[in-house]
Amino acid sequence: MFDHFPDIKTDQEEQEVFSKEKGEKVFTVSQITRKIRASLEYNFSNVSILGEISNVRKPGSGHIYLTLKDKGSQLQAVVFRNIANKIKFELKDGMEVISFGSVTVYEPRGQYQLIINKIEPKGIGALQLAFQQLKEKLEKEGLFDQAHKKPIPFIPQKIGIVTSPTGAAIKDILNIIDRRFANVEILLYPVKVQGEGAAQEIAEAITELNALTDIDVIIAGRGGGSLEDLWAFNEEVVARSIYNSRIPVISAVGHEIDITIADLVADKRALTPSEAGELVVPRKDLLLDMLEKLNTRLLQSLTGKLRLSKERLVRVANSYAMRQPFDRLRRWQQRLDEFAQRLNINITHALNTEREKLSGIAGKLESLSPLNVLKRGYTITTRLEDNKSLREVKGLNKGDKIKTNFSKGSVISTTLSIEA
Amino acid sequence: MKKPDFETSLKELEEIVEQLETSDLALDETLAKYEKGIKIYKQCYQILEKAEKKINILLKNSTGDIRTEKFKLKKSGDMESFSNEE
Repeated sequence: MFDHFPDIKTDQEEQEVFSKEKGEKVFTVSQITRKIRASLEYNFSNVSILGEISNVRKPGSGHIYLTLKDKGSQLQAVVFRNIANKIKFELKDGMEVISFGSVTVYEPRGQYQLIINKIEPKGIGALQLAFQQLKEKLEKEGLFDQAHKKPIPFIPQKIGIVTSPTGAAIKDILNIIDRRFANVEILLYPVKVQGEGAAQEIAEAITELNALTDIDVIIAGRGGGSLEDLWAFNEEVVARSIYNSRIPVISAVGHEIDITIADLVADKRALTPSEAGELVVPRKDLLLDMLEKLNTRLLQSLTGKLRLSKERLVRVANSYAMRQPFDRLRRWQQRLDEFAQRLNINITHALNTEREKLSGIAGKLESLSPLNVLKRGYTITTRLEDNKSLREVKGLNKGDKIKTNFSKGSVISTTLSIEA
Repeated sequence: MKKPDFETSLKELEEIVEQLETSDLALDETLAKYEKGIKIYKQCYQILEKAEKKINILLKNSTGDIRTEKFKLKKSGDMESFSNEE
């Protein structure tokens, strides 16, 4: 019966056996294995070992089994699940690593092995390696492709920000936005930006903002810190949430020198959170200025055009072509005037002649006037009834009233008798 | 149909102004362009003034329900424990 962790009681109960020849003690396999184990553990606890990884196995248990080797030797090693979960980079065959741990014996098989408590790549930090590995992997998958990057809207109406509500980043971003384009809506999705679970929170926030309908752009980031502090932004889960976001994402992590996986996947990388504020909104004052200038030019060009048109009209009116009809008109007027003048002269002449003729006739008329005859003592008799002058008695009856006109005055009388 | 965005509209307005300034358009064409320009100018202005200043923080209760609340920056001495960046 094999027992991985034999307790002391059974150990004591086992009978000791001595060799017949020399009287030396005889061990059972278990006893000697236990002694070897104790000896190894005593001498080789907390050792650091440099070697190349080979034959990595990762069964469902979560433990990682591997062989460390160099040119001359091999050493079996195991990383238990609780440690394996904390390793940021991926253990791969051929990788040179420094392993920290204790040598022990796996008694059931009598094999000694190294229990690894910590493992680091040789010549490079574990995080750096992890970064490189993830970068390579995601690059191959096309997560950094320029073609996939979405344009950042020029004037967003609503901005989602994924960061700590108490960090430096949110302060910087809000300050810059307020200075450049204050009338914009902002929704802060508060998350842990470092430590256990930070990456999951960030990824979840980005995914959940995508479920809202009115977010135009997302800023995800945090202020500066150590590589460990910034690590959440180098995690695969964050990278994938950014890649899958239908809303454009601006990354804003740490300082300019800190390039994270999030920066590489993001649609736009801001070097700092402050720069994210600059990238996300334009300067409204400049835009208003541009608009007003264009408006002024618009008006000026119109008034200019109108003035030009007016000037042209005047010019055209004064042109020979336009003047010609007026000239003809004037010529006609002149001829009319001439005719009129000639007509005037003739008319006057005719009038004068007629007037002379008339005055001659008038003299004759005057000499023939009955009034002059009357002056010589003649009278004119008229019938009173119809004032008709009477030349003879014919038609006149007894009793008719007649009027006798003298040169001066007249007499009305009644006919007493008619003598023919 | 998607509304024209600010950049496109501004560009169009610039083009109209340049046409009015440089090319020899007939008077009625000039007036038509001017009217269009004024219309675009107003649209651009509206885009700039459309949004309202609002800063909210999203909060979740224990059952995962989401609500928003007006967000105000805390003073620097008031940092929460989990965020010790800078």
